[in-house]
Amino acid sequence: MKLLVGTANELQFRYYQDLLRGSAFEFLLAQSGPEVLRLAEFEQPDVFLLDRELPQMDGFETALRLRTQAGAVFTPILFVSRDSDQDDLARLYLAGASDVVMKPIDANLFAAKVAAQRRTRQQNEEIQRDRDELKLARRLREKEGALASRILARASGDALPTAARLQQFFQPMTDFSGDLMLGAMSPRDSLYLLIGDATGHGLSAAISAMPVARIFYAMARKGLNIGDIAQELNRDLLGLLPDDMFVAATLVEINQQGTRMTVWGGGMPDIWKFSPDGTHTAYSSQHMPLGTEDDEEFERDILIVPIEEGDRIYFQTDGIIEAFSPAGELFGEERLQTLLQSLQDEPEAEARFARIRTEVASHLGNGPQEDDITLLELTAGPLEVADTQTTVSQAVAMVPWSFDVRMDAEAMQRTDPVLQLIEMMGESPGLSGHKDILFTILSEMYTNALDHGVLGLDSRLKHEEEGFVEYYMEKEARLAALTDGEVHIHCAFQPRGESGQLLLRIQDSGAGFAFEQVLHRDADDEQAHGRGLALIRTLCEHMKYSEGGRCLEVIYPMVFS
Amino acid sequence: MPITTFTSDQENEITINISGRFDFRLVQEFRDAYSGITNPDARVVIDMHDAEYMDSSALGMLLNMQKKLGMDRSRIRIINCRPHIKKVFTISRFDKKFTIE
Repeated sequence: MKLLVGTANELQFRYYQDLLRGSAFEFLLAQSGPEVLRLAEFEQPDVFLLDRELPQMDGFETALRLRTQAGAVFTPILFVSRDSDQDDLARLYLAGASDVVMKPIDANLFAAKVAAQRRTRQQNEEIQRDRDELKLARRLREKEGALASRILARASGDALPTAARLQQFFQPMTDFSGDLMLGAMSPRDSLYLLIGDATGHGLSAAISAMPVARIFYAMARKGLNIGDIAQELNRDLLGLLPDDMFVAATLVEINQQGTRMTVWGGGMPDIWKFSPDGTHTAYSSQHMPLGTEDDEEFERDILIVPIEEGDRIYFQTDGIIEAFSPAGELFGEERLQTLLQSLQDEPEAEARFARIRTEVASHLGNGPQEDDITLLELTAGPLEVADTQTTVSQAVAMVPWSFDVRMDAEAMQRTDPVLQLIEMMGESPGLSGHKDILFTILSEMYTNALDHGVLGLDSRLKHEEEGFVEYYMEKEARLAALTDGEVHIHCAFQPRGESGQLLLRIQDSGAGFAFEQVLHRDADDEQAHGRGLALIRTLCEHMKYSEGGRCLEVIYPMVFS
Repeated sequence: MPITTFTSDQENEITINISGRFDFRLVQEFRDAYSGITNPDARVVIDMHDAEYMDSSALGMLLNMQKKLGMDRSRIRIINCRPHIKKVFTISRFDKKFTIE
């Protein structure tokens, strides 16, 4: 601690030093006003002790200048004055004096006053330090906030698609939103929406919402089933979030024609549908919020809601209905429902939402908004078909094709073509997800054509377990001895928009069989054979024998995912 | 090996793992896997975890096994089925004869 003494009299300086012995001050002497100012600048003293009278610049003036050149920390100035004139004292204080010591000096009082100024200085320093730290922390937070905000904005994507049919009221409580409102178009031009509400609000809620956006976009853009998306989100959040945090969400798919809405809802307020005929329907969430259920317990059940052109569908988080007025009154579902009902005759979406905003603002009054607000309106009707790259590439990729494979005796001996054909077809866009079922179908067809057609084997051999093995031994023997015979496989793929079909036809060179009888025979539960046709019939849309049982044709329908 | 067999310490649970395509090619191998079971209290687990494809000959082979061992539904479990394999079992009403998990 430095004490700067401003006095013309060096003896006086010694005297002060003497009085303050043991105070641990470092003493500095300035013998004129300007010198006080100069030393103050160089030495940054902690306390000033100034004589009322100083050469070149008196104490008043010096104090005034000290105050203006002072640093961030308040420095106490203690005056020593001979004059006890009240006005003069007042002037000293006005000039910036912290205290005044009267002459003749009382040793004890003097020491106590200096000590008091010293404490003041220390406290000020502490305050300044805290303030600096706070300032730094605030600057850091602002910087981090701006960064987080930028990342979150990027992660949660841009504007909602098909804006023409959507109207939104999205008002986060802080810079960071724990509410989510995401939209994406699928390859089949259906609209996917996610309206979500992460536990809490602010940055922590926004962070838990982040993975949701990423997964939703990735899966929705592929046009995956919303039950699957919900399950994936649940799985991800379960691993990421602490037990007491989760994300309530409604996932929706609206088909391109705008006639069907598929919903998975977990822990969200009801979805409301207002129809042009004045009716109003509510659809409740059927599930727990995302991030709460173990994967095995997760329910993917979805709700399918028929919608018609002109229906207005409202999705929301609890932000509006659970908003309190300053008087402590809830906005409530009923008030919002009544408000929306009354707005159904207003043709302009913007006007409807302006009203909603006004009502909510007037309810909140001067009070604070306590949660993020999200309300989304969808007006049902055909969706604009997006002319995007994905649609184009998908359409180009989904070309119809067909191929034929002729297996002669030698080829049949050498290999079973089923797996290879399945792998080939699986390379075609749209078919990769169907390989397993196609294997079962084609394998049944080929086996039947080869075994019963070309090789003329009789299934009745398979009645007994021993016969089963015998049957396959016989098959191997006959196949090895085969010199002529043929199985002709024809596969044709026909994509049609979001679905398609695969035609499989197998002809064999065998003697044919009485297929009418076989087709009408129910598979015997106890028999180890005779299940193949039943399987094919269940898995395919169409199954037809011709050419006396030598030709079997099936059509396998598929929806692309 | 498309089929591997594992017997539990108490020798009363035999697990048969099937991998790849489960069809008539495995008829002998599959039969060998269960033909050594003589313990009257034995239980059999068919682990389909690595089975990618299946056709109706596999269904026949499973039924044959069941008949041979004389076991009821509770003692043969078919586990870890891929969805389409489960579908084939369901279509064929195999859930009445086996415990399918």
